[in-house]
Amino acid sequence: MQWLPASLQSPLWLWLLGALAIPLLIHLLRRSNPREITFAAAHWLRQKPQQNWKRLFLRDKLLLLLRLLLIALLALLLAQPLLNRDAQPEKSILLVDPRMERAELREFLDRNFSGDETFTEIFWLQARPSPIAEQRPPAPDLWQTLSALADQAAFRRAHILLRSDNNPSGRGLFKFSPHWQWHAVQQSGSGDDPNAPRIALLGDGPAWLEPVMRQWRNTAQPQLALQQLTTTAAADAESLDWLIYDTPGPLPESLHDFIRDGGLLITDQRVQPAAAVDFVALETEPGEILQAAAIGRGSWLRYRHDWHGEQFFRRADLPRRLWQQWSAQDWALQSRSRANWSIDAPPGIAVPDTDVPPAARATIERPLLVALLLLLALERLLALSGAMRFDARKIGEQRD
Amino acid sequence: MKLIDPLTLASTRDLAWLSRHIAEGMLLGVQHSQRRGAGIEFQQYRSYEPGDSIRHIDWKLFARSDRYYVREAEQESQMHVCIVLDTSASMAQPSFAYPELTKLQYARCWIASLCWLLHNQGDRFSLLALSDSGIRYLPEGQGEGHHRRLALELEGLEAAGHWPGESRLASVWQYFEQPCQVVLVSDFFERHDNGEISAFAARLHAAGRPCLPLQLLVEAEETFPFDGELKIRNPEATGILEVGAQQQRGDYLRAFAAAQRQLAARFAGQECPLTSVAIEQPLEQSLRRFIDAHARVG
Repeated sequence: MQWLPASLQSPLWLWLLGALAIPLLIHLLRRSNPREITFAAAHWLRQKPQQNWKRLFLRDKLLLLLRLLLIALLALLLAQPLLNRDAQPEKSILLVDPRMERAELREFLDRNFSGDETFTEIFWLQARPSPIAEQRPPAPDLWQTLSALADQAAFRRAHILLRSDNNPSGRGLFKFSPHWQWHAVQQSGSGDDPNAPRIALLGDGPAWLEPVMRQWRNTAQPQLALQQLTTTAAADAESLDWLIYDTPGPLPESLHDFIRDGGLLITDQRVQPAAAVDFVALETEPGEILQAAAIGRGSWLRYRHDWHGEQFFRRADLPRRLWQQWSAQDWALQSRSRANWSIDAPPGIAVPDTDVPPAARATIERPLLVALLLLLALERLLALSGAMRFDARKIGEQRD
Repeated sequence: MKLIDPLTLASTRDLAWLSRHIAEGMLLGVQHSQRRGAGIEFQQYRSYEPGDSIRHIDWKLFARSDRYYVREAEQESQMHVCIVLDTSASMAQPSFAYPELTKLQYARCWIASLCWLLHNQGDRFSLLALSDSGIRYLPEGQGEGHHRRLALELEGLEAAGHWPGESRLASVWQYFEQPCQVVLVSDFFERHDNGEISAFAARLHAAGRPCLPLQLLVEAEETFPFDGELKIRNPEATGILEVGAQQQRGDYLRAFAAAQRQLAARFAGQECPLTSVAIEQPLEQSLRRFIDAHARVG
């Protein structure tokens, strides 16, 4: 019954609709058995040819309609319909990310909604939104909060104000309402580029790394920021994409796990694998030997030359070349599966309107009852006015 | 004045008594110095006939002859009224409001009451019932006994057949050879457009026998209050007419009113205004209307 804007408490009574056949039958039977009378003045009547189908529904159409309506209404009344009421659509609600400062919020409201379009209610964005006047709640997990709000009818059409238009995603499926209107104070680009790989350095690092990073910032390449890690245990494929490892010796087990979890490890030949690894030689440029190995979901990129050597970095195109070599690994795939989402295209599943339990339900018994009584009165009036044509005259005569 | 209920008219078993009751009610306050019973001048002895009042039996003569004789007196009468009653099948039409009451029954009561009034005036009256299934004639006479005979005759009438044709009517004309007033009681529903009943009245009128018409109708004939599908049986025709009442009502009422106007005009031309009576109306009223319309008679 999803297509109905109402639900029935006792749909069993709808069988009563079968009783619609009764007045219909009576009507048809009465029609097919015309009253037979003796009428001496029949001389002045003329037999008019009539089509049978036309006569079928000629008499008492209004009365029949009323009686059908009466029965249908009675069945409906007994079935006890509940009318779904949507949350008032004219009410506009703003849900505010609790990480927002009040000043930021005020500025946002002044800038975007200074006209007659204002919000009737403003809440903190929470699984159970509390009014903005109350104390600021702790910053929620957006992923879970929005999923919880997606099928609440009261907030189906809310405006949602986030601090940033890019947010880290959670692990599960994200549910959202297709009617939400998104706002963000911080536009992407001002902060970290979400599409840029996150690079970390473990160890001292080659001497060319810092100038290369500086040079990258001036190009159109994605903006990279170099993180400095201190221990191998800090390497985590969740928070890092690329790791530059510059400590000679065998590869630590934790870094091996980093690769297996999907990271890209970049080393030179001084780093030895603990177990046998199948390296494939990549001939990106003549004279330069680069090895790559796929381990688990990630890969290991190893330069055969010593990258502290002078011939490795004394080249004008070093940054571009490095970017090419590094990003030629499965970067495109990784970038796409980055656990970030943007308000322009919320990932996950839009909750359809039909899945939303209605905000309020109202019984409509009273208007139905009134309509039933009115119809009944009208029906009796019509039916009796026909029958009373004789009676009225008879009574009038007796009174003389 | 308490009017007689149509149901009483319909269910009466003593027409003579009822008509006397009605007529006496109408004559309340009328001063009349009429003698009862026998006349002023003795005319003849006549053998007793059923319907004669036993008060008129000459008991002395009975003692002598062991037979019932009735004294009859010479009575001067102003008028002879011949009542012609149409007993064609259409007169069996019952009222729709009181299905027990037919036009014929109403006519019986009405005629009997009129005749009692005539009797009170000392007038003579006769009855002629016309139908092609049988013509009944009660010769003219006067007095209470004659009235009782008239009531008997009326009670024996049945409504059947049509208005008699020319050939059957030929035998009727002899009854009008003596000067008389004619009261014609019918529904005036004529089969042919030439109007056989009004033609009969016109012929009487031409012969110098003024014909006072009383038309009996049922109310439904004037208003056509039906709706829905109807199967209509015409008592004087074969076959059944199937009509939708609502579609027919307008046409019917127009045609019926036109026919009524035509009929009324025809009688107005003979200076005998038509009295149309719905049988649902109280009999006293219709009798009064009829008498008022023909003040010469009343």
